[in-house]
Amino acid sequence: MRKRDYLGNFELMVMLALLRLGEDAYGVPILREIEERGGREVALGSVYATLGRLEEKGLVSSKLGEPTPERGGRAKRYFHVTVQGLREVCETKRVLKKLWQGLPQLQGGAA
Amino acid sequence: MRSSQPPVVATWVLTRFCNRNEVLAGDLVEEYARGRTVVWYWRQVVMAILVGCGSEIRMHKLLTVRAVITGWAALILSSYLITLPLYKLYSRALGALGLGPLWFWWWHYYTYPIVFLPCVGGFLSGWLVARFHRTYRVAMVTMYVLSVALARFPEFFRLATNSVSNSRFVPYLVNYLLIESLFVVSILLGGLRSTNIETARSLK
Repeated sequence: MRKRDYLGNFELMVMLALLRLGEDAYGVPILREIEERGGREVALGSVYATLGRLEEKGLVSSKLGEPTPERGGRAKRYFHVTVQGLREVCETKRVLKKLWQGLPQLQGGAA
Repeated sequence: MRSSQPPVVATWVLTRFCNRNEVLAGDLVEEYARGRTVVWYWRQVVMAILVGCGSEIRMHKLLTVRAVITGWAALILSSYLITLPLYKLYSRALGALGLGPLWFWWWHYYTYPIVFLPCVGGFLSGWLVARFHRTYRVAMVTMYVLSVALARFPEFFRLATNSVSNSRFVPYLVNYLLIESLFVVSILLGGLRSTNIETARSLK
């Protein structure tokens, strides 16, 4: 069996947020997406640390936007999921789905 | 009343101590303008630094080991090449002026400067660690400081337990804490002195 790194819980959340946001995926919308759908406060630093990790793995790529006055003259960094990243998300979903199946404790949304 | 401008000190701390600082600072400024509180802003800054350091150390374990070794090597070398000769020179100068030998730094005002002598080595070692590990300088300097604190812990523990059983040891404990705190601050200042090229790098 080949050895591989599966996406962690938070990594998966960030990847899904990136996929949902599409072209407009930078720090603030990613943070909001995770906070609104996850229902808990998230540190922006954690989001960036995760994005950095995903970028080093080649699952995400980024490019710098133009500086804007409302950000104190600072630029946004836009992220998007690479083909390899998309494949990884699908693979994680497939594995999780297989693990989910046939568990009586999780039937009917009781858990 | 909430200011329309984000906390200046927090932004400064973030830009000095965190990678991807400019982009992250921009995000925080944008969110603050949308009504987040000062407490939220500070919490995000502290978390960004802690998470950033932790993540970098986890991802670059070998580099971390190298940074710690670099720091200790610089510290040992500087103590032989700088601190000790300076101590001897100062001691001789005091002797030539007819002032007493250097036993304890707190005895006379003219012995106070010797408390700062180890700080020279501390500053240099911190500066070197940051200089050789520019991209991850905050995480590397932090790990080096932690290793120094860990090495000093047995002596602190001995003095602390002695102070609990006998109050005669309390001044020694206070003295130790003061000197070690100064030493740690000197390492951090050395790390801070190193140029912040990450800001420029993140804007490329």
